[in-house]
Amino acid sequence: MRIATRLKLSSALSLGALIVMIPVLVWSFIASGTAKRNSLLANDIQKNVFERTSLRDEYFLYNEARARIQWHIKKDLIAQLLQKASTLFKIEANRIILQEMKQNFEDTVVIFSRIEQFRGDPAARTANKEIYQALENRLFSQLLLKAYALHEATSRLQESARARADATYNRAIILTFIFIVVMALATLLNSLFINGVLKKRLAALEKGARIISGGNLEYRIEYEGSDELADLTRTINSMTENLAKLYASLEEEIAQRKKSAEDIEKLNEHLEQHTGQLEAANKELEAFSYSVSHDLRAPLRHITGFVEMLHKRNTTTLDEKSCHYMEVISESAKKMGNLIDDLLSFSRMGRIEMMKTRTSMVQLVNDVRKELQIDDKEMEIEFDLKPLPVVYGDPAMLRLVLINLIANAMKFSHGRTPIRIEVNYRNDTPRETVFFVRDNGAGFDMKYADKLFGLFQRLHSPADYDGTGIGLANVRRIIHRHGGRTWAEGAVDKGATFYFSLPDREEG
Amino acid sequence: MWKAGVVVMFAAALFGCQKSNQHQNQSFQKITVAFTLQPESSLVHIAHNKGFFKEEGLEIEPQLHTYGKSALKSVLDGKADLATVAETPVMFAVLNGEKICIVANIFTSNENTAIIARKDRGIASPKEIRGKRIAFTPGTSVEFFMDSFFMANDIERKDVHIVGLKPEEMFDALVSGKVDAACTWNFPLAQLKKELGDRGITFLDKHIYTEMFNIAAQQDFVVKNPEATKKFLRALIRADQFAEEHPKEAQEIIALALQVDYNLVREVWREFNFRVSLDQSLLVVLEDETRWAILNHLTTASEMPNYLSYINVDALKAVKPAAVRIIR
Repeated sequence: MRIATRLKLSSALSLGALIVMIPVLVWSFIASGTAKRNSLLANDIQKNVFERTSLRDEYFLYNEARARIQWHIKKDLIAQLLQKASTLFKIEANRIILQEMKQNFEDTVVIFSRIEQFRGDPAARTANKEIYQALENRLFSQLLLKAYALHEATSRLQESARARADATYNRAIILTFIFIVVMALATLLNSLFINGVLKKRLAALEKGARIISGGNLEYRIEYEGSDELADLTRTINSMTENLAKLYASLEEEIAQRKKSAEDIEKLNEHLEQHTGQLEAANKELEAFSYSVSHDLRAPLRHITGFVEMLHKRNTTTLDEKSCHYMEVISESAKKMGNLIDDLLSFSRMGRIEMMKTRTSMVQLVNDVRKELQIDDKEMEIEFDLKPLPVVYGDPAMLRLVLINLIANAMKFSHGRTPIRIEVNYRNDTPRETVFFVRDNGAGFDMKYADKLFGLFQRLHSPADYDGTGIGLANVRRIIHRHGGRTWAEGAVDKGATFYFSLPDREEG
Repeated sequence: MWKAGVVVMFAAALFGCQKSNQHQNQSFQKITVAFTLQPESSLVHIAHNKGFFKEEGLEIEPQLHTYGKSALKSVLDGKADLATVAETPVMFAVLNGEKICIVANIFTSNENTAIIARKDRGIASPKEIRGKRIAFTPGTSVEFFMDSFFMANDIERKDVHIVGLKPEEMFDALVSGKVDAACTWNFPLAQLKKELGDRGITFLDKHIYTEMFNIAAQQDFVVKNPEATKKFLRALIRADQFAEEHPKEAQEIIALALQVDYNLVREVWREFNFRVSLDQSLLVVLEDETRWAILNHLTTASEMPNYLSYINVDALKAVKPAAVRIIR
């Protein structure tokens, strides 16, 4: 049987017992109340009978009308009480006593009336005083007899009513006691029974839970019956089974992850190795590049110097074509010198130590603006500088970035009237601030956007715009060293916008 | 007269048979009980008939009498141990100096004694008894009732011709016309009423007399045989209970024992009050009758005895304490 059903059954039985017992108790207490009321009535009758007896004696002793009147008042009262008693007393034995009381009471009334009658006849009293007195004595004796009988019957009724009241009260108390005992026993037995069942089931559950929690997921808890605890046991067994499966799959996954972690670790080791090798190679390359550039400068000066000396000595002896060749050699050597200078400067950008500090971008822009004479009226430039934030970086390097970008904007906007240059920023991307320089110049084809920041990369003819193509490469290198990014947007003849970002970084 | 004789003989034969059976068990205490063939002795008849005495360990030797005065005389003569008797013979015996006592009252009634008169003798009202012949049993409760009745109706003894008869003589005397009226009890009172029918008239005054029938014994017997007395009373109490629970069977027992018609017993049964007790009323009645006896010179005694000395409550108090209601 299910525990809920068992509890419901128990509750129903208790309720049933309650339904049975409550009317019994109510009836019992009502009966007790009735018996007590009857007992009080019997006491009242006894009291009045006694008082009437006293008044009778008073009347016979002193013959006072007052005592006689009082006796009659008591008589009427007793008659009413007896009448009332005859409607209230239902037990046959009591009704018999009441009948006896009534008979004796009526006899006393008749005898008393006869004595009253004699006493009220003065002629008769004086005519035969001796006989009158004897008769009155005789009647008085009978009155005494009846009064004794009335007293005795009243006492019996009183005793019977009291016994009845006691019995009904005791019965009510006993019934209450029985009710309490029965309910308590029922509750106790029910509790013991349910406790027994629960104890057994819970012990099995506790043992099973302990074994399972100890790691034995193969253990299955034994159960019996079909109650809620059996359901719970089945559920726990099912859960344990699922746990065992899950545990197996987890173990497998953990093993895989462990293996993956080991692989990643190995890969990282390789990567670090490669990075180290790359960094070393890069440094070697940098050093080589610098060394080559530096070493190239001496022979280049020799070439330039010797060409100039040759030109001064042989301007008359050399034909025109040779002179032209010499000029070409001289020009090329100069260009090569410029290229080598640019290469050295680029190389320096990668090697120079950075001195990061709080740097006002507005201040930097204004310095550049002054240096490039942007505000010169002849330039016809509308320079739009927005309020810029303070950043954390190397001010000299960032200044170089701004010079390159603003100078590029001026260079590639040549011919526009007016030239419009905007320097602004945005911080719509997390953990960085993006600055940009926008112009309304020649712009570029976006398909070449990736090449813009390459070393010595040029999208325009040197005839249109001079320069070696080192500026944007330097910009990218400086920004990369700051941990930022560079990119550009533009369209041919529609102007260009060059962006660079700097990470939002706390001062270290 | 002859009827009463037949009744006595029949009853004697009946109890004689029972007596022979009782002799078979010698362990029973044997006592002689003089009791009357009157309804007043019903409890003794019932107890005897139902074997209550035997069950209580008593072997009863019945001694049947037609009235209580005779039964008491048997006790006084030492022929019986216990007697059933009304209060009047007891009162006279005490005034005569007899050492007797009452151990229990077993019957009371206000309607068991009356004057029955013949109308054809010109008696239609109590006062018309004057000058007529009225029979009574001297020295019994009947005499006390008769005098009380006369007093209540302003009649003096000298105004009537009183004729002393035994109870068993009443029926024939009134029916035959030897007397004009009879003052008597049951039975023959009810028998006479039935016999005379419309020719008869009954004068009853239930407020002037209460008959009290008792168990009396020599004081010496009660003192020496307390257990026997208790057993006897215990058997009577059982008979009382039986009569209350089985009135019809009780009436049948009495009709058989007294040899009267069952219907006659049934008709008068409601007038009887059977109860084994000792009430204060008994003292009142005994003293009232004593005053009457002294006043009317029916005794040589002139002082009121202390009747408490003539009532032994010990036995009844031992077997049924609640039944003793004498103020002490």
